[in-house]
Order: sequence, then C-alpha cells, then structure tokens
Amino acid sequence: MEVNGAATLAVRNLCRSYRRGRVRAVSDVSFEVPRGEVFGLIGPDGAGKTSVLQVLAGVLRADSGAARVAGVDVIRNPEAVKEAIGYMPQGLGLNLYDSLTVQENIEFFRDLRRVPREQYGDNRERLLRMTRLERFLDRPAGQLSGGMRQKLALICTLIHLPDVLLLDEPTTGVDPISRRDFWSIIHTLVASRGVTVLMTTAYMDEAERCHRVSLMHDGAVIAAGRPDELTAPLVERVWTVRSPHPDDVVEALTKGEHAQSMAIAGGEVRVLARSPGRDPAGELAAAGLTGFSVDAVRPSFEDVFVEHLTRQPRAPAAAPRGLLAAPRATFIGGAVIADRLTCRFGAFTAVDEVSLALDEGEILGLLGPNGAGKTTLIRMLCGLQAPTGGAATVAGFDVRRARTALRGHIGYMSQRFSLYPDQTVLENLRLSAGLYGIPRAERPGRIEALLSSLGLESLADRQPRALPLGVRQRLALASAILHEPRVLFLDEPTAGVDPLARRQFWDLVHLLAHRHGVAVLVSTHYMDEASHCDRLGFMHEGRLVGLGRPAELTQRAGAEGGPMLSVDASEFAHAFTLLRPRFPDAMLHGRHIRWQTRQPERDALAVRETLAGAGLTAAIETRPLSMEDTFVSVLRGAGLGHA
Amino acid sequence: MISRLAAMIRKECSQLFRDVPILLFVIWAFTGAVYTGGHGMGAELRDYPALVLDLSRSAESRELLSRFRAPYFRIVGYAGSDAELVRWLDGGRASLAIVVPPDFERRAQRGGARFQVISDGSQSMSATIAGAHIASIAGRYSVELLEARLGGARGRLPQVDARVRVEYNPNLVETWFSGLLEVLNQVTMIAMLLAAAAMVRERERGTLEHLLVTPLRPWELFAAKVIPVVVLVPLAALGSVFGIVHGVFGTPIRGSVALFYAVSVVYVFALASLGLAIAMLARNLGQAMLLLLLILYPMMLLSGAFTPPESMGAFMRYASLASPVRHYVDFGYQVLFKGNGLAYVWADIVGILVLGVALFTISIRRFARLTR
Amino acid sequence: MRRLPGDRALAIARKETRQLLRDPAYLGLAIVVPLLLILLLGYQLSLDVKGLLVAVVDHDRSRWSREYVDGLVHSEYFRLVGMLDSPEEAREWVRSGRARVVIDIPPDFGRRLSAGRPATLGVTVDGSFPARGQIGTGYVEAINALYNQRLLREHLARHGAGDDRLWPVQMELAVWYNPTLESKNFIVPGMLVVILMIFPPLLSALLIVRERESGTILNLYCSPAGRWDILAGKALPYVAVSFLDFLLIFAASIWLFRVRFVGAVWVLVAGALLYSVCTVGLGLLISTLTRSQLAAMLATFLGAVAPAFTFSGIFTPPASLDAVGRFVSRLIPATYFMDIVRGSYLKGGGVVAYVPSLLILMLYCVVIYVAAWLALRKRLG
Repeated sequence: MEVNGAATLAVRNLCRSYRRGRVRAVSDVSFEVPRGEVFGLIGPDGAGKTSVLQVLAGVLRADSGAARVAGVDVIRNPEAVKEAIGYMPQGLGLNLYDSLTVQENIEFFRDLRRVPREQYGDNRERLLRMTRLERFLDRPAGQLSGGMRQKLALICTLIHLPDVLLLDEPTTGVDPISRRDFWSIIHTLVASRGVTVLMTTAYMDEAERCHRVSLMHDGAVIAAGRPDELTAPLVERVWTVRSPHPDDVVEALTKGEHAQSMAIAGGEVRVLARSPGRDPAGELAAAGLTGFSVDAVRPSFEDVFVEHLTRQPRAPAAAPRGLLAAPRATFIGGAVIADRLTCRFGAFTAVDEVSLALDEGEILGLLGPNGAGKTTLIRMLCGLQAPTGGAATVAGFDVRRARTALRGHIGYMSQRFSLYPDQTVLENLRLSAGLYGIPRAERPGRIEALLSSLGLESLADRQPRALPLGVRQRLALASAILHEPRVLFLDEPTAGVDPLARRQFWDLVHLLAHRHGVAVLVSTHYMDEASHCDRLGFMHEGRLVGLGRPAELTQRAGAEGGPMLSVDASEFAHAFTLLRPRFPDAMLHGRHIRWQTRQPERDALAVRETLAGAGLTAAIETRPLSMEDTFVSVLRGAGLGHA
Repeated sequence: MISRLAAMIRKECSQLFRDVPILLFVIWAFTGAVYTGGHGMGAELRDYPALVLDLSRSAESRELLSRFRAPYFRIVGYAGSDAELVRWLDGGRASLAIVVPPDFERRAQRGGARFQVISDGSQSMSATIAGAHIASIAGRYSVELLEARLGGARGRLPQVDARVRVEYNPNLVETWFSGLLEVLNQVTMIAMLLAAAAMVRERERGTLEHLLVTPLRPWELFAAKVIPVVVLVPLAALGSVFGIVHGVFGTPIRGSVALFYAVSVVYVFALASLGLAIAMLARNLGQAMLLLLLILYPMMLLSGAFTPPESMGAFMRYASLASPVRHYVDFGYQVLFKGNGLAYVWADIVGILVLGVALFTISIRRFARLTR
Repeated sequence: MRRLPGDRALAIARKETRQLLRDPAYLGLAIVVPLLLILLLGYQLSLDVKGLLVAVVDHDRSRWSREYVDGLVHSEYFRLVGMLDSPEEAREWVRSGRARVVIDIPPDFGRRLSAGRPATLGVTVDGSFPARGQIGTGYVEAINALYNQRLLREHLARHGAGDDRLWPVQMELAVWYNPTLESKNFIVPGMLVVILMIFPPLLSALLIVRERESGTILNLYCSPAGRWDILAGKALPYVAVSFLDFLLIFAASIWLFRVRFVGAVWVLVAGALLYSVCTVGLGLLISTLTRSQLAAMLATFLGAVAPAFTFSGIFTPPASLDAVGRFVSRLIPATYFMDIVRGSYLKGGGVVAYVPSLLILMLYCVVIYVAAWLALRKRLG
C-alpha cells in the first residue's frame, strides 16, 4: 500500500472481530494522520476505537488490513513499533501501579524504556512542571485524584519522548480544569516537537480540539474530516424550539415529514431537519400550536452522529406511555432532603457538608469529575453508606435510622453495571421482582409491560453481555423502576453510550420525572447533559459548589466572569504560544483559542496587537459560556480547582 | 421474605450451573479425585522395597527371605557388596536391606544365627511398621526351626498363636480407607469453595451493592448463598460414596445412609458459613483462595485420619476438637464403615452442631455489618 | 546509559518487589502462613502411631495371661484402657472406638502353656480407620513374637537347652539415618518440600493473571521489553520470597525442632534455590495459559500441588507405589527435591550422590521457562 510521505500513521481497511466473527469490532477502517497532527477517533463505547489503537500499538492482532506507524508495518512487525510510540490505555491511570509512588512509577517507565540519564532529568523536570505534580512525588499513585492520575499516566507515557502518541480516552471522567491542562500539554508538545497524536474519546465536544477526526460507530467510520467540515452539511438543519409544552411539539413534528430527529432537553426541543432551511415553525403553526419560539443553532457533533444514525428511517421508538401505574406521591418538605451531609474515610473527606433538596417530579443533576464525591453522596442517600456527619431524609425516611424501610421506595442504578451478566434479561427482572416483593401473580404482567414500553421485549431471553451498552443501560433502568419507586438515583447512567441511545435514555428519565412525578437525582461527568436537568449542582472534591437552574448558573457565571473570547488565528499553534504568556487562562479548542474575560474589548485589542506583531491575523468574537466554561468559572470563583 | 429468598436462591442455582470451571471442578472432585485419592498414600505398608545381600545362599537363607513377601514387602534387588547396599539405601531405591551372613546356614541348625536388617529411618512411619513385621517374621522362623530341631512335630511347643481378626476391613484393603476419606475431604473443601466463590463473585462484579439497595436482609443473602451448597454437596457426596467408594472400590456401606446425609447437611452448612466468612475477609478471589487453603490444611491434618487423636500431643488433641473435620471424619467412618448408629456418634454430631452454630454466628455478623 | 541485558528485567523485578512489599495481605500469606504451618505441624503433629487403645478380656487370669498382658502394657505401642468381662463387651468397645484392639484370652491359656503345648488367643483389630488396622496387627504380632521367644527360652531352659547361642534365628535391627525413629525427622523435611510446593506456584500463578485483569499488563506489552525480561522480572521477587521461606523453615527445623542434619548445607541450598525457580516458573507458566484468577488457582492446585502430594514421597516412598505411580513420581520435580531434602537431613553422603537430582531440577527449570516463554504473548485476546 502506498504511504503518503507525510503520513506518520496510516491505516487501510483494518478489520478485527471477536468471538469467531460474531462481534465485528473494527470494520474496514481507513485513515491517515500526517506528522504533527492531533487526530481524534470519536464515538461511543463499542465503536471500535480502542481496538484500532491497540492494533496500532502492536498489542492486538488485526484480522485483515494494513497499518503503518512511523514507517513500521505494524501488522507484520508489531514489536518494531514499540520503541517509537507511547500508548496510554483507557481508564484513568489504569496503567499506573497504585502502591508505587509517583516517583517510582516514573522511574519504572524510565527503566522499561531505557531513557538515557541526561535526557531523563530534563524530561522529568519539564513534564512535572507542566502537570504541576512536583509536590506529589512521594504520594502513592492510588491516592491521587482522577485528574492527577491522568497526568501521571501521561508523564509515564511521555517519559521516553515518543514521536507518536496513542491515547485511549485520556480525558474521560476528568475534571474540566485538568482536562484543559491536558490539552495544553498536548498542544505544546505538538507545537514544539511535532509529536503526532492519535486519540480516542467519547466526548463529542472534544472533536473540536483535534485537527481532524473520524467518527466511528459499530466498528465503522461514519464520517471523517476536519471538525468544521463535518458540521458544515448540517448548517441550517438544526433548530431549537422553546415551548411550555415540549411533548406537544414533539408529537406535532413526528406526524410531519420534516424532522429527522428530535430530543427534549430542559424545556427545549432540539430538532434535526431532513433538509436545510425547513423551519419547523410552519409545521408547528399548522398543527395548531402557539406560544413557541424557534431558533436556528449551530450544529454540534452530537447532531452529526444522530444524523447519521437516524438517516435510515426506523420505526420511531414508541414514546413510552404508562411506565408506572402507581399514583403520584407527595413528601413533606421534599423527596430528598440533605442537610450538611458528610462522609469521611479516615483523613480523607469524600463528601463535605453537602446540603440540597429535591422535589418530586424534579430532575437534579450532579455534575463533576471522577472522585468529586458524587457516587459517595448517592450511596449515602440510598442507605448504602453511613454518613459520618449531617442528616438526610429520602422519601420520608431517615437514611440513618430507617434504612431497611427506605429501600423499597427508592430505585438505584449504579455506575458499575448492575445486572448479572450470566442471567438473561428476564431472569434478572424476575429476580428484581422477587426481591422487591411484587406479588407473584402480577410479576409476568408487569415485566412484560415494562419491557414492551421500553421496546425491549424481543431481548427477554438474551444475556446482558451480548447486548450493546445503550440497551444494557435501559435494562438497568428498567430493573430499577420495576417496583415503581418514588425516588430514583442514577449514578453516571449514560457513560460511554452512543448519542442516540443517550437521548432515548433521557427521554425516559423525563417521562418518569415530569409525567409520573418521580424525583430523580442524576450524576454525570458529561457537561452537555446538564441541559436535561431541571436543576444542577457542581461537585468538586466533595463539595457542592453552585446549585441552580442550568440557565441561571450560566448567566450568573457570565455576569461575574464575563463572556468567552474566541480567537480563530491563521496559525493557531504559533498564536497560542504568543498569547499564552499574556493570557494564562487561554486554552486551545481545536483551532480556536478561548478564555473567559471580563473585558472582552480590551483583550481583543491586546490580542490583535500581539498577533500583528508576529504577522498573524485572527477573527475574534465573543461567545456565551458553555456548561464546561460555567463549571470552570464557578470553581475559580470558589477558589478551587488546581491539581 | 419468602419471595426474596426464593428469587435469590433461584438466581444462585442458575449461576452455579452456568459456571463451567467450577462445575467441572466439583464433578472432578467427587469422581476423579476420589478415585486417585483412593489409590493414594496410606500409612500402611505395601510393597516396601527391600534389598537383599545374601552371603549365605543356602536353603535356610532362601527360606528366610521368602518370608519377606507380598503384600508387605517386595524384594527389589540382590546386592553384591556392602558398597552397593549403601548406594541403594542412600539413593532411596530400597528402604530396607536384609543382610544374611555367610555362616547363617550352619548356625541356623545349631543355633545362634543372626541376620541384619538395615532400615531407612527417614521414612520413620513405614520403618516402624516394617520393624514390627520383621520381628514377627524372625520369631516365627525361629520357632519353626526349633520345632524341627526338637522333634519334628509341629504344634508341640508352648507358643502363642495370636489369631488376628480385623473387623470391618478384613483384608485391610487400602482403597476402602482412602476412598472414603477422600470423599469426606472433598465435602469439606467443596463446601467451603462453593460458598466462598459465590460471595466473591458478587463482590467483584459489583452486584453486591445492588442487592444491598433492595429490601433483601443480610441473613436472607446469607441463606441464599448457603442453601444451594447445602443441597448440592451432600447429594454429590452420596453419589460419590455409592458410585466410586462402593461401586468402584467395593467398600461395604454398613450404616444408615440417611443419618450420614442428615449430618452431612449440617456439616456442609457449617463449612459453607466458614467459606462465606472467608470470602468477606478477602479483598479478591486470589486472597480468598489462599485464606481457604490456610484454614483447610491444618483442619485436615488435625482430622485424625492420619494420626489417631490418641497419638497426638495433649495440646493438639484439644485443638483438634475445634476442627469440624475431625468430628465429621470420625462420624463418617463410624456410620458408613462401621455401621454405628446415633448412640455412638452423638458426640461427633454435637461437635459439628456446636461448631456450626459458632461459625454461623461469626459469619452472619459479618454480613450484618455489610449494611452499615 | 547502560544497555545491559537484563536491566529491563531488573526494573520489572524492582517494581514487583515494591508492590509485593506494600501488599500486606500477600506478604502475610507468603511468609507468615508457611511459618505458621511449619510451627503447627512440627511441634505437635506426630505420625507415630503409639499408645493404641487396647482392651483385654481375660478368661484365664493365670500368671501366663498376666505376663502376656504386661507385655502389652509395658510397650509404648499400646495403652491399656480396660480389662473386660465378656467378648460382647469387647466387641462393643471396638465398635464405639473405646478400644482399637481387643485381646481375648481363653480360659485354657495358662494351662496349655504350662503343659508345654501351644495356645491360641483371639485378637480383634479395628480395621475401620487408616493407619490403625495394619499397624495394630503388626504391633500385636511383634509383641506376640517377643512373648513367644520368652516362652521358648524358658521352655528350653527347663529342658536344658536354654542357651542363647542355641537360639535359631535372631534379628539385629539397625536403623539408619534416623536412629531414634523420631517422626519429626521425617515430617519436618517433608513439610519443607510441601510448603515450597504449595505457596510459590499459587502466588506466582496469580501474578500475570492479576495484571492481565487489572490492565497494567499493557504497559509491558506495548513496551520493547522482551518476553524473557517479563518472565525473569516477575519470577525474581517470588523466587526470593520462596527462598526466604526456605531459610526460615530451615532455621526453624535446625534450631527449634532440632531435626537431625548430617548433609552438606550448600547442597540443600542449591536444591532449594533450583526448586524455588522451578515452582515459581510452574506458576508463571500456568498463569500465561489461564484467563481468570480462579482458573489459575484451580489449575495450580490440580496440576502442581496435588500430584506432588501423592507421588513425591512425602508420606510413602515412591518405590512402594505401583508401576504407574512410580513412573509419575519420576516425572515431577518435587520428587527430586524430596530426595535432596531427605538425603541432606538424614542420609548425608557425598555431594556426588546429589548431582543427578540437582541436574534434573536444572533441566526442569529450563523446560518450564522455555514453555512459559513460548506461551507468553505480548498481545491481548
């Protein structure tokens, strides 16, 4: 196969399947990455990204196809490529040795890679400074926070100064500040040493930070190119409809022909039209709706994904109607009330005096990185973990004293997968029914109703491990609501799921909350899911920082810290190195350099001056804050969030 | 409560029967392992390898040597010199050397003949038994020679003829002992292993958390883990007893199978509780297995099957009472082999019950702590 | 920088050692447990079957029968627990286990012997337990033989021929290697082999599987480190721990239990080192072939520990196994190490005698590690 002279990484028709061909992990994938570029493989879990990376790293054999890395034919000669690459596997610091200190971890990788002494000293200094880990050299890796682990993992991957970096989901579950640090490190490396980076991610919005991307789904590439190229075809096809009755909007547009896909998020309906320029306002008016407003919006990557997935008209998943039969309940004071809830493990405080209140029919989101304490908080509210301080009442029961009584009234979906992999769907649900004491006569009926309302009745006899992740998540939810709880706790329910399945999931959550009055507490580290929640709380290192409606939080953050300034320069790498010293908060988003500023005009002027001095031009504009920006702003405002 | 328990038990059974490695291991344990164990080591003397250095080469010496015969002894070689003898013994090719001096023939007739037996004491157990047998051989041969010398007719000298009758296992068939012992050991090990594995699996997969969020009570979880084991293992033991121990080895089953089954149920319950307690202690499967072994081996060694309790030091004798295996092994042999009834084995049963209650209490307390 | 061969292996070994030292559970299990076991077994466990419970039904009650019973009572092999009145009672005692052996002396016992004629008595031995049936029989026969000798001597003396010189055949028993026939001299060396045979392979079998399950194995796979580096690096710390176990047990055996030791220490040390390398390698080999920790442990147990228990001569000499058993025993490394251990402790002898066993252990090491090298693939799936 011809190798483009400039391409450091080249993949052609790569195929790999598991279980004797039954699971096609990688299906005819091809792409090229020239030197010094950051290339992203974007897609949900199970898309095949990890397999591609592992083949390129020489640790997985491909079934067919060709791949070259740094001039080495990886398929035929995998060992030869290992000197030149740095590979960081998936999972926050999964490749770190927990019982070894930071120093010892780095030393191990140094010795494993035979880094010459002179080089090592320099590298180490620079990397430690970049990641701000110098103070933690003697801390065991197992005691580092998620963001720190990721940075340490990065150091260990970089210590031998590879020319090619293969990073598998390096930013999943990391707090936004650490995520920005990570990206600035990457871009510095790219700019200064021409390192080629191939990374994978399930975050759609990260696509913008790469030079070029390939979107992957079910093992195949569904779209490839520069980020703006990918969203270009969808310009003028994405609209938001604001209405007090979003369900009616959906119903109206479903009957029509023009909407390819719709999603409800926080009182708004996001509509993807089949062709550009078709404003849904007309259709809505024709259906007799009033009181709505329609806006055209910039297409996101998620839209690109959804567009691809819904291209083939498939029978729309029947909007589930009666999920729960029991009547609404009312709780005095609120479905969930937490008052200065604390959880301490020895010297470590996992949850620090968190107070919140959740009403029935409300969706409260807890947003924050791994290790922020979301899971511990939820576990305390479920009665799984005894609080060391404070009090909480859930569904009218005190979590400390009435734990047993509490359990029949709540539903819980944990981070880790909660169904038994070796039991069929039906068997799992039957177990749930038995455990919650649903009368035997009613069981088959209820289970069947639940499965069919979720569109899963055909899967009753399959085992969960044979099902895609999105389906498994819905099943886990089914298992959690079978007994019709009044309060529902969902701990990172959509991690790694493809956008379409995620939307379906959130549709269900909306239904449960707004139609059936279930109080829902959700935790997530996906910033874009914030819009699905009625109220939002940011969690960072055990503390609840900022609590309110998503729009309010963003407004307040914007009011206090100013809008985002976005600089689109002709040579962005160079521009970045120039601007960084003057604007230390500046971050690279793909080609754009952005930071929050209270004085956008003055900054814009300074930017033009600086760039002009180097002969560069740029387009400068202000943008509203994204949810991630809001989070960072709130953290900064509270004086938190460094390493 | 019934509904919760029933649902959990159904799940446990379903999972157990879908876990192929463990199932295979259990099947092997009650069939193949019992079979090979039956042929395994014993404390009895069999084919004890003897080397002969016969410097006499007479009819008398041959007659003497012919007494060293199966099943106890096996002559593995005839040495030509002292050096060869030393080599064989040092190398372990023979555990016994019989040296017959050149004047044996002459002296045997007149009196005062000696022969030397050199025993490899490093196998002290076997050496002791061998010594006893050889003493009898020498004694009997002497008597025969004397009788011949003194008058020809047998049976005219004052000699005691000890007519030995071995009860329960007249031919001292090794496999009868070892096979049954192996079954009892496997019951012990498998009961602990199945329970521990069931619990560790739950913890490692993260599904335990989900169970704790449901109205399931700690003791119900405990019961669900233990009951399938308590049903399966005693049945498997019965199958093994009838299939291998009786069917293949031909061991007679003299006693009440029902009694054996009933007490086995209690015993398995006790050991499953222990297995669960271990599973709660360990952080992962590897640790659980190691802990299991640590507890299993001393229990088995103290069980009195290798060393009768009366031969143990005082401390060990009392310590062995704390081992449920000891009571079970004694019970098993008494009931199945000897055919004894309740009246004889009540002490063992009480021992198993007491230990069972103790283990259950320890274990259930750990379970209760789960939901804290 | 240095490019010595093996520097990567050393780096891996250093990492493994650190992890091991900081994992109290494994460390405890690797060192504390073997020590505990040996203390337990060495101190109180005796395989000597002594003090067998014997009961007597004496219908005769003559001086002859009393002398006979005395012969039993004063031997260390038996302990008299009762003089019974009837054979039925005797049977009951055997049944219930209160006596293992019952001697039934008929009423005409003394009369016949005093008249110079042979007499019989009945011995009932409880054959329901291993270790008691044959042993009990053997002891009774031995004591009987002694008594018979005395009878004959007296008889001959009365008839003028009671000279020792005229006694036909006498046996001289010499016990080599363990003159006092103390079972601890037999057990403790055996336990040394047992413990080194159980723990190192179990621990090392978990190694690679655990790393595979946790994902850190990818570090090694995607690095230029070779398979030898990985195997050697992983084996080193565990061989060291195993060797440490050996030293501890050896020290305990010599100073605490005072087991006889007449051989060359360095032969034993060499054997222990080779054997440690062997068993750790076996565990590593198993871990490259299995996918889950459970399977690794089961395989180690069935494939390494159990056969060694049965066939390596811990309780019975391999020479007394049947042909198949003897063949199998020559196939497992534990047998050769057992030869070295028992030989060093009890037999002594020249170094030359042990060279073949040492060489065979070395051969095993090579075979096992080559097999592990072939089986290890720096790849997933």
